Amino acid sequence: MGWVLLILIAVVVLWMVGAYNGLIALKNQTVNAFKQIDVQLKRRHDLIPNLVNAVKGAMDFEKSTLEAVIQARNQAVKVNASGPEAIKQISQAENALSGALSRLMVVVEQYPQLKATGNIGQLQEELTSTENKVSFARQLYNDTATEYNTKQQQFPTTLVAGLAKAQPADLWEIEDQGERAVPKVDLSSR
Amino acid sequence: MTSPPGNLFQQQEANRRRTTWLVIGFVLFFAWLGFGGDFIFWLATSDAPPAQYHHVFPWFGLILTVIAIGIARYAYRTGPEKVLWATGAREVIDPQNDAERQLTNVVDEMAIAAGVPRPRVWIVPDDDPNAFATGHDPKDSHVAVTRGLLAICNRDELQGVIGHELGHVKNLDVRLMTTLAALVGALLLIRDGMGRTMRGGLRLGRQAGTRPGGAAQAGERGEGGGRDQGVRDVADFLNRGGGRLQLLSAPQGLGSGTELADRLIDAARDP
Repeated sequence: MGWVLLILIAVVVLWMVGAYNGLIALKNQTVNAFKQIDVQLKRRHDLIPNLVNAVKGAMDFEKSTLEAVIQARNQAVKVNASGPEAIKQISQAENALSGALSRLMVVVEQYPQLKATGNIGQLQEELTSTENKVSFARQLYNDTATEYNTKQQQFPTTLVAGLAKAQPADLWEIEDQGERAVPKVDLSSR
Repeated sequence: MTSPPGNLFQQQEANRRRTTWLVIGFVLFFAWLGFGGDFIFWLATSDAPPAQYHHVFPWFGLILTVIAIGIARYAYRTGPEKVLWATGAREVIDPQNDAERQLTNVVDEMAIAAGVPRPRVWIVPDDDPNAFATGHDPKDSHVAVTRGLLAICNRDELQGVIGHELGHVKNLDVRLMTTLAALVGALLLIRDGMGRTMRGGLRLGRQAGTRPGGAAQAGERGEGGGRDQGVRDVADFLNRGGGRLQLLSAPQGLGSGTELADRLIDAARDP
């Protein structure tokens, strides 16, 4: 009878170790995925001055668009929040920057002679790529954080969640209500 | 090949298991050939008088098994580079033009989306649109696209293709398919090499048999037999062996080496 109890305890302890380690692994993956977003955002911040310089000369009369981009960029670089408010603040600043950038790109499209100069095309490609990288990094973060959140809320892993100091991770959301709106689709051939 | 049902981990597990069985099957096939040969040889020599050779120790089986293990190991380790080499792909390390830059960017993006390390990027000089992935696991993987694919795909289409290939990397399809390709390639090489030496060597053997000492000239005239020095050397070697073949086979009423060679050539031409 005694050894049955012993085996039961051993099984429970082994399971606890496994569940605990699983939660810790997921927690660190979530942190890592979040840092990946940072890496991509940094890339974007570094790219913007180049882009602005490349189009500045040809776009004197679109100064407000350019200035909006520069301002949004500087605002985004300044955000140095940590803790639970971090995601909210960073995503607000970055969404503002995304909006300013997409307006600039629309303007650039209207100036064929600007697009014809070689390095605008290159910068546009880099910008597209960076935007994609940012959004894919967010997607990866949300996937990882969801897995982590689900794990720590599900029974029976939830029993060791307190032990592993697991807290639900915030997901990256769209703050700007304008971005939630359904985009207007134009199917007319260009 | 149909994908196994289930999630990523089940697919990875299935692909690991299939790769293991593939390698085991390959080695077992060679072992079967070798030990089967031993068995037949043992049967053939068991009735021989006590003074003559008796095949008891299974040399063929042991040697072929060791060779097969060596080939499988070599194929598994060098599979990715062999596959890339076979397609003539070149690696894109420092993108030179817009298309290459876009390709490396798209690979970067999809690697982030898939949460895997960035694979190495290759371009195959081929105008047919195609793409493939190879490697052992996500840490050591390669994605190759053809020049033709780069030419016809826009950015979003390219993204779809690369995403698909990274899926193969992530669920370890690459490990299975690369090992399979390398093993099949090794078998074909063995078959091709044996077929060539048999055909080339025996043809030369026949011609040299009618005109002793004419191996070199015969090699130059034989169809494809004298294409390079290597083949000629092998043929020469077998030709010298052909004389012994004649000595060995004549008393048993198999005819001269030349006739035997004729029959073998017919057999080799029309397998």
